[in-house]
Amino acid sequence: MFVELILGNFDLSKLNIIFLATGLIITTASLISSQEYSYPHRNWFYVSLLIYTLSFSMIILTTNWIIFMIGWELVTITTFAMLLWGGNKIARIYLIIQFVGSNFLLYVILLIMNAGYTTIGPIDNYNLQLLLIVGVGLKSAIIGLHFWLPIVHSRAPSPVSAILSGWVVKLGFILLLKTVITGNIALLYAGIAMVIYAGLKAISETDYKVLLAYSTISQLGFIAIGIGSGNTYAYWGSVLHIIVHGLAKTSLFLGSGYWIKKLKSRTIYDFKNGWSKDKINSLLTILGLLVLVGFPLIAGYNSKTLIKYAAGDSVVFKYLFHLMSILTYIYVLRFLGWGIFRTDQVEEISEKNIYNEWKNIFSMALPLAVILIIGFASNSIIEIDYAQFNLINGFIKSIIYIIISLSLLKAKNWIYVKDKPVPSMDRLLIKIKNWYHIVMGEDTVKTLEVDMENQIYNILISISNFIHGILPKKIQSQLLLIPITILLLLLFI
Amino acid sequence: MNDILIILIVLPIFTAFLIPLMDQWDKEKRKFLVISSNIIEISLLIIFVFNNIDKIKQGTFYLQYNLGEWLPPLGVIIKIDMLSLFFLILTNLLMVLLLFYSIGYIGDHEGKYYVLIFIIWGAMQGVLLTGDIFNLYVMLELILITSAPLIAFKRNREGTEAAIKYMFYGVIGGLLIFIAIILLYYTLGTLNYNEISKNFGSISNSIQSIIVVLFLSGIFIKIGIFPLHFWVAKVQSASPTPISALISGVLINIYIYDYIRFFWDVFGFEVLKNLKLDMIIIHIAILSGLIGIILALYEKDLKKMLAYSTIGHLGIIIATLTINTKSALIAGLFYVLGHSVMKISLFTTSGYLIQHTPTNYLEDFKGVAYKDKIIFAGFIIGAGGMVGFPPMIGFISRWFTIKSFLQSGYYIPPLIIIFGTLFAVVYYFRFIVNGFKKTHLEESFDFKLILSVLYRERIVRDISIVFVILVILLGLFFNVLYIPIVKVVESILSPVLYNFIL
Repeated sequence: MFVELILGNFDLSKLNIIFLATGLIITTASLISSQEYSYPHRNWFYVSLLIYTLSFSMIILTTNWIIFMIGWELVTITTFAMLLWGGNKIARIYLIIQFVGSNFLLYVILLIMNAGYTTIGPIDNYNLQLLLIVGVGLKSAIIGLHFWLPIVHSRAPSPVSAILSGWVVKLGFILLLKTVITGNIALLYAGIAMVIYAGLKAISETDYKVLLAYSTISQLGFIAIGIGSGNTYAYWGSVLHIIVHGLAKTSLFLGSGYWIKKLKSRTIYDFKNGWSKDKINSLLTILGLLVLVGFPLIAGYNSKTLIKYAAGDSVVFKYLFHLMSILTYIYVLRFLGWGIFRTDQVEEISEKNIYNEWKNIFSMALPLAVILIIGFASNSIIEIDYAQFNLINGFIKSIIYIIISLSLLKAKNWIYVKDKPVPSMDRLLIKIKNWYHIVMGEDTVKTLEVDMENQIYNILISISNFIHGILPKKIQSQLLLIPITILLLLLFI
Repeated sequence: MNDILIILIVLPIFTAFLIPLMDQWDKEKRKFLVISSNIIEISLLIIFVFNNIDKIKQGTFYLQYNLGEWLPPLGVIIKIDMLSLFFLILTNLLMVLLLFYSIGYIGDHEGKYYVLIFIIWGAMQGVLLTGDIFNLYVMLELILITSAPLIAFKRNREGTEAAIKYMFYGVIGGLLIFIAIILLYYTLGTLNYNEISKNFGSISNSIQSIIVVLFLSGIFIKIGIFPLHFWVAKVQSASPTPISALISGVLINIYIYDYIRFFWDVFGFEVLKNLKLDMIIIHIAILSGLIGIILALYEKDLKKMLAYSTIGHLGIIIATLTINTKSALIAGLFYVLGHSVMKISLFTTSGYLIQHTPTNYLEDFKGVAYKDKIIFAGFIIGAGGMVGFPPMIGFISRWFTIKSFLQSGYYIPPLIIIFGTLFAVVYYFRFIVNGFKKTHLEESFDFKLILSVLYRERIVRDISIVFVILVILLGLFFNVLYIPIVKVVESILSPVLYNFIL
C-alpha cells in the first residue's frame, strides 16, 4: 500500500530529485550554521526544520494537488515556527500574511481541479495560469505581493533567512515550472518589473541583509522571465537559476550572519575593508556575489545565458537584458566597494575566534562548491541539446558591464545613501496611510503607535463591533425575530 | 438481533433511573455504575456493528424493530440505516469520552448530573433511531428538559438566566415543530416517516410550505442559525465545560441529522426545490456563518468565542449540505465529524486550562501556557484545526467544502469562508498569544480549583489529550473514512431502503 501511495502520488523524475537534493543541501548548510546561534529552545528549531524538510519534499515531488496543498501549509507553519525561534515579533504578521496567500491558493487550486486538471501538470487556460501566479505570489514574492519579503528576510535569524530566501520563495516557481509550460505574458512582464524595481531598490540600500533580500526579488524576476517567456532555452535557464540562486543566496545569507556577528553592525559602511578582517569570509562572499551577476565559469553565467534566450529576436528586449545585467553589477560592485575593498578607512579587529571558524566556512562553502560543480555539469541537468556556453564572449561582456558600472558608480560617488532604519511593517503602513492622506488632501503622519498586526486586528474588530452593535440586545426583541423570520420565509415562498 | 436497537435507547435511561437508587445504597459505588453502563453501551454498539458488518460494507444496511409487535402504519417503529448509524457511532463515541471527562470535571451534585446526562444520551439515541414523527418530538423535548438544568448546573445567576433563555428558545422551537406535526397529522392522518414521505406530495402547496417553514425554523432555532441564534453564546458561556462541549459538539449533530433526515428523506429534497427554499437556506446559512465568525472576534470570553465559532461553522455546514450534490454531502458529513471532534477538543482543553484562571476572560488567560504545556499545545492544535491547517481534520473538511461549492458553480461562498477563516486566525491568535504572556499566576492559581484530587485531574487531562489525538488522527487517515461516508451519502441520496416496510 505504501509503495502504491508513493508511485501513485509522487513523481520521482530526475528534475524533481535534483530540486530535492538542492533543497536538502540548503537545509543542511543552514542547520550547520544554526549551531552558532545561541537562542533558547534549540530543539524547537530542529523539529521545525525536520517537518519543513518533509513538507518541501512533498511539494516538490507530488503530483497530487491535495498533498501539494498540505505541504504548502506545512511550510508556512514550520517557517513561522522557525521565525518564532529567533524571538521575532515579525513571525505573527508573517503567518497572517502567508495564511491569506495560502487560502487564496487553495481556492485557485480547487478552481483548477474543477476545470479538469486533476493532477499537477501543464495548464492551458491563461486565466487559470494567472490566478495560480497570484496564488503563489505571496509566498514567492511576485511584484506587488513582495512587500513583506525585505522586512521578514532581513529581520529573521540568518539561517532562517537563508532557508526563506534560498528555498521557500523558490517553491512557488517550482510549481509554476510544472504548470505554466507554454509561457505566460503577464509573468514575463512581472519578471521584468521585479528585476528592475528590486535592482533599483538594492542599489540604494545600506543594510546588508535588506540588500540581499531585494537582490532575491530581483533574481526571482529572472526566473519569472524564463518561465513566462515560453522559450524552451529560457525555461531550462529558469530551472538552472532556481538551483543556482538558491544555493548562492543561502551562502550569502549565512555569510551575512557571520559578518553581523563579527562587525556587530549590519550597515555596509561599517564593514570598513572587510577583506583585511576576514579573508576567507570575504572570498566566499565575493564568490556568492559573482554567481548573482552571472560571471563566466560559474553556473550563474549558464543560467542567465539561457534565460537571455527569452528575448528572441526582439532588439528592445535584448537591450533590456543588458540593462538588467548592469543593474545587478552596480549593486554588487557597490557593496564590494563599500564593504570589502574600502581603502580609506582600514580598521583591525583585535579579538578573533569569536565563533567556530570551520562551521562558518563549511556552511558557506558547501553550497558554493555545488555551484562550481554545476557550472561544469549544467548540460547534464538541462534536457535540451545545447552547445558549449561561449566563455570568451561572456568574459568580454562581463568586462564591459564591469567597466560601465564602475564608471557609473565613480560618477555617482559610489552612491552614498544615509543610513536607513531596518524596514518594518509599521513604516510600510505609514507609507500607505500617507498616500491615502495625500490623495484625500490631509496632513501626513510620521509615527504610528501600534504595529501592523494591531492595525489588522483593529480593522477586523471594528467590523465585529459594528455587527454586534446592530443586533438586538433585549430578549424581547431577540424573540421577536423568530416570527419575523418565519413570516419572511413564508413571504419569499 | 433487532432487539439491540431498543436496548441502545433504554439502557441509558434505565441507568439514569438506577443512579438515585444506587445513591441510597452507596454513593461511592456510583462511579462504577456509570462506567459499567458506559462500557456496556459502547460494547453493545460494537457487537451490533460487527454482526452487520457485511451489509454495512455494501451500504445496504437497514434494520427495523416494531414496538409491541404492532406493524408500521399503526405502531411505532424504531429503525436504523446508514445515515442513522453514522450519527449513532459518532454520538456514542463522543458521549463515552465526554462522560469520562465529566467524572473528572464535575465535583459536586454528581448524582443529579449523571441522571440528566444519561437521559439526554437515551433521548439522543431515540431521535437517531425513531421512525415516528411524534416520537421524535417527544425525544426532542426530553433533550430540552434535561439539558436546561445541566446548563444551570453551577447554580449561579448567569447559569439560571442562560437556562431560562435556552428554555424560551427551545420551547418555541419545539412548539413550531409540534405545530408542523399537527398539520401533518391533520392532513395525512399518519405519523410514520414512510407514510409521510409517500404522501407528502399530495398535500396542497400552501400547507406544504407552512409545514416546511415551521419545521425548518424549529430546527434552525435548535441549531442556532443567524437570526435565531441568540441563546447560543450565553448558554455555552454559563454552563459547565462538559455541557458546553455536549451542546456544541454532540447535540448539534442530532439536529443536523434531523435536518438531513427530514429534507432528504421524509419530505424529500424536491419539496425544498419546488418551494425555491434551498437557495434561501444557502444564503441564510452562509450569512449566519459569516456573522458567527465575525462576532467571535468581538467576544473576550473564551467560551462565548467558541460558541460564536460554532454558529459560524454550523452555518457553513448547513449551506454545504443544502447544495445537495454527492460531493457536497460528503463534504458536509466530513465537516460535521471534524467540527464536533475539534470543538470538543477545544472545549475540553480550555476547560482544563481555565481551571487555573479566575474567569473565562481573555485577560485572565495570561500565562496558562506555563501551567500545562501539553494541554496548551492541544489547545493550539485544536485551534489550528478549526482554522484549517493540515494535518488536522479541519483542513480536509475545508478542502472538500470549498471543492463542492466550486463544483456546483458557487464562486462567492468559498471566498466568504476564506475571509471568515482570516477572522478565525486572529481570534484564536489573541488567546494563544495571551497564554504565552508571563504573569504572576501563583495568586490566581488557587482561586478556583475544583480538581483537587489528583486522579480527577488526570482523567480530565487524559481525555483532553485523547480528543486532540483524534483531531490529528482523523486528519491523517481521512482516507479510511472516505468510503464509509460515500456509502452513507449514497443512502441519503436514494432513501429507497429506508421507506421499505417489512
